[in-house]
Amino acid sequence: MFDLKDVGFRTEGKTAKSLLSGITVSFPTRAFSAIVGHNGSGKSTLLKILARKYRQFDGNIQMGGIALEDRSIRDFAREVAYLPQNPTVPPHLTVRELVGFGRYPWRGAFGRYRADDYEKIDQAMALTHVDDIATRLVASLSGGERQRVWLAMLLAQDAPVLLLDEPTSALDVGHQRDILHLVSDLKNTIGLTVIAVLHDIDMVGRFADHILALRHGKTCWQGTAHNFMQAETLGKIYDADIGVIPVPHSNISVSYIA
Amino acid sequence: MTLRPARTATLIPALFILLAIVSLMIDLVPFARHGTAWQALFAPDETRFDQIFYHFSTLPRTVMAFMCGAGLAVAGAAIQTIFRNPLASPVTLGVGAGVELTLTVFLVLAPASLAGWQDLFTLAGGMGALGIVYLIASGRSNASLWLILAGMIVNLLLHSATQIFILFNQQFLDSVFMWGAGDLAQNGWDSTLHLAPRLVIAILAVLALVRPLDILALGDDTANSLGAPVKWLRLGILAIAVFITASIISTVGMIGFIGLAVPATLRFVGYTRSRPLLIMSFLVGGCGLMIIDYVMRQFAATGGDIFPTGAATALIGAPFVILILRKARIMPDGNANRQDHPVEYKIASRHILLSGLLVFLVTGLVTSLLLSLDGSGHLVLTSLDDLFAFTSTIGNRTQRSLAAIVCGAALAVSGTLIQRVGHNPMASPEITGVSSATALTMIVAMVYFGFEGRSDLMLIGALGGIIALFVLLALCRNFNHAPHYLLLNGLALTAILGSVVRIALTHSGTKASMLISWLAGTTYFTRLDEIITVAIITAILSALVLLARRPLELASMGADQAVSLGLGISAFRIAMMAGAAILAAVSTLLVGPLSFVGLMAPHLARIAGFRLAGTHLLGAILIGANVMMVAEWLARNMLYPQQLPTGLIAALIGTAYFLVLSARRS
Repeated sequence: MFDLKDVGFRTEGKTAKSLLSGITVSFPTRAFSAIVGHNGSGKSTLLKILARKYRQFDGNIQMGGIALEDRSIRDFAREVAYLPQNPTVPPHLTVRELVGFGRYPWRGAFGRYRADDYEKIDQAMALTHVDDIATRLVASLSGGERQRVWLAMLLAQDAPVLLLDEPTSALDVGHQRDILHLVSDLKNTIGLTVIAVLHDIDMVGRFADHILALRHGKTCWQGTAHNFMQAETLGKIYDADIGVIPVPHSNISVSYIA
Repeated sequence: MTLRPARTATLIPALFILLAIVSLMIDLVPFARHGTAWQALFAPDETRFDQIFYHFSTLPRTVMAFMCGAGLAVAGAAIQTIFRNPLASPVTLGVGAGVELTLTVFLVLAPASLAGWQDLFTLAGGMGALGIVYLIASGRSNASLWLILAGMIVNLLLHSATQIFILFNQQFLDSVFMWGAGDLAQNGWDSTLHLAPRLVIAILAVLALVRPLDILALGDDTANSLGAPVKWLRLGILAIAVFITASIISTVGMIGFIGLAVPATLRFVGYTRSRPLLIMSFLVGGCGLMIIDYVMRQFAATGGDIFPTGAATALIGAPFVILILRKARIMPDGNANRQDHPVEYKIASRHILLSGLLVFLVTGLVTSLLLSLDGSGHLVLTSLDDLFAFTSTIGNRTQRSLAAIVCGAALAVSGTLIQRVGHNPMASPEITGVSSATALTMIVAMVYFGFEGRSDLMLIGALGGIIALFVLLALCRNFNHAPHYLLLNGLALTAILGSVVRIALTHSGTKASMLISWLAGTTYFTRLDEIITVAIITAILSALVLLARRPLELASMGADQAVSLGLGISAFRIAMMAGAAILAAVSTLLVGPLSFVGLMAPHLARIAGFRLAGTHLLGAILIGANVMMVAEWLARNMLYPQQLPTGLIAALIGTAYFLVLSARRS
């Protein structure tokens, strides 16, 4: 879906710093790609470039065969849905109203919502299991519930690509699993392309199809989940002794700190 | 906070002291040439005018400047340490306004025999204002922000009260006005000698309390567990700081911002312990005001005009605050983004509420036209006996009521837009400085360039308002999610504009009285065609905004998310803010800059349960119109036959409402 060629990014100003350089990668369509790496490795920056939040990058990015920049704001919003790391929660909106804003790229400022818009909203809420909290204020929800609501909004946006910036960072293990399970389910059923910045090695190994590892702003490793869950690879990416044990009678491996 | 190298830190006080000494020297040079410097300083030759002038005017004035600057800076440093809030200061926390009000009332009303008690009264006024501010802010999750907000609101409330009081005692207007602008001019040593012992004792007392101050700076819990009687220490030190402020303000008038800017800057460059902070504040504050005063004296010499030092200090000090805000994230709470707990919204029937408001507006309008109070407090129905008199009275009243209602609606829309697009439930045209900018450009155009036509003024004012709003947004563009930056920058901007307005008013001579009643928000001078113009503008803009309610809702989610959903947020924001500025400007022309409806109406509407942009706007419009209508009726009848300015009454209603609201919630 995204084809990056020699992408780099520098901060501006007096203390200009290169955050990313020489990233060349293709994120496959209809697959779950994970971007991993140590803190400050440039994961979020890369995702923000893909989401067009940072527009002054070097190199060349094609999306679906067209340059990333060559779309209007609304066209882009119809194709790519992005969830920032800490989305601003409007204090006054209920769950259903917030999810409803997913239809904005399609209806704009003045267009009336039609029956199929409401259908999409209901569908998105059913898929993310937030329909039973539809009338509650988003600000009053717990972290896990909120994350599901945001996901519902992204689904209502009906874009083929989801960009998620650490969607599980503030959640406990159970909720992390729920969210990622949901996302990877959606990938399989609706055929979404998902690119997510993730921290937890085991979650990445369990759910991601394609993995890009960054280190100090450069590509450090990329490949499949199976190859990722190797002690040698993980050690290189995180610069720490990490061991891997295969779980018997399955193709899952788990990591541990050696 | 980053600690700067000690070299830069000591450089600032050194520079100030050097400049102050230089200014002293320059004053003395003419005497030194003739070898009479000593004489001029201590025993002037009574036959030489320059020596007399120096000894009895320049010198006491310089000493006074040093004392006031030093005292205010020390008081500011103590207050900032106690509240652990780098933006607290005697003036931002309402002490100044409290002193101003009590002093004005005291001077006009108190019998001469009580003159000796003046200090006590002003001290009580200052402490009272500070107490209210503290009560509102304490116990809130983000107390440091609320402290400043409550300070601003109390300031405005007390200031409107002072203005109402002055309006009824016009004979004192000029001198009160000069005093309000902070005039340091002296004609003898009396007031200097009057002030000196008080300040010396109070400053020494603060310096003696350095260790308790340091302990208080650790926070209440830690201080308590270290065995400090937190409550009494805090009260004691605050009382001393307020005493310093009250003495200075009652002697020379409002000199703002020294008490805020000096300690805040010093803390920022690395003076974090109380002792060096207090000592350096003393030196830098004193020298700083001396330098400013020196510069102002030069202006007075060349132009022959009086340029009050206090107003000039605000002019210089306020940009300083903006600078500090930009350079440093000095809000002490690490999590300034934290929101208050979500308010439980009443999901009442909005339709019933809206129609209720509409009905109230209509019936209120009719009754307010027909009913009035006579001088002795009885309600009177306007008699129908004389049809001609009846129609002319009613016509007159209709005009003023309509002006008030239209302005209420315009300000409500303006406030709703600023609050929603600026992500800030506390913002409003009045607080962010848009209204003052409008007033300022109008006054400058009127006083200095001789514009008379009110439609020209309206246009000029709108331009000024728009420019101010965009300056403000440009200053805050990096802090989209931190509401206090907008507010504090707005506060600084308002202070700058306010001081320019004061300077302009001291120049305007005969127009002053008219300008003041306009600034206070009288609807007395409005004309029907103006009202119609404003009404049309308001109606068109409100309709446009109502149509754009969906992107307006989206804007409350923050720029990133709005763009992700396909809204070109920056263009939209600019359009909305321009609309808000135009509405603020046109209504400012009719009711003055201080009505507070722009803050109150959207806020009330939200509390009443109008959550979504469209109904929020409608609710705010209706509430704003209602409030202004009531204010107008009160202004017309409360002290009949005296006519009060509607804007001031609205401000009183608004601030009082706000105080009650915030006190109840805490």
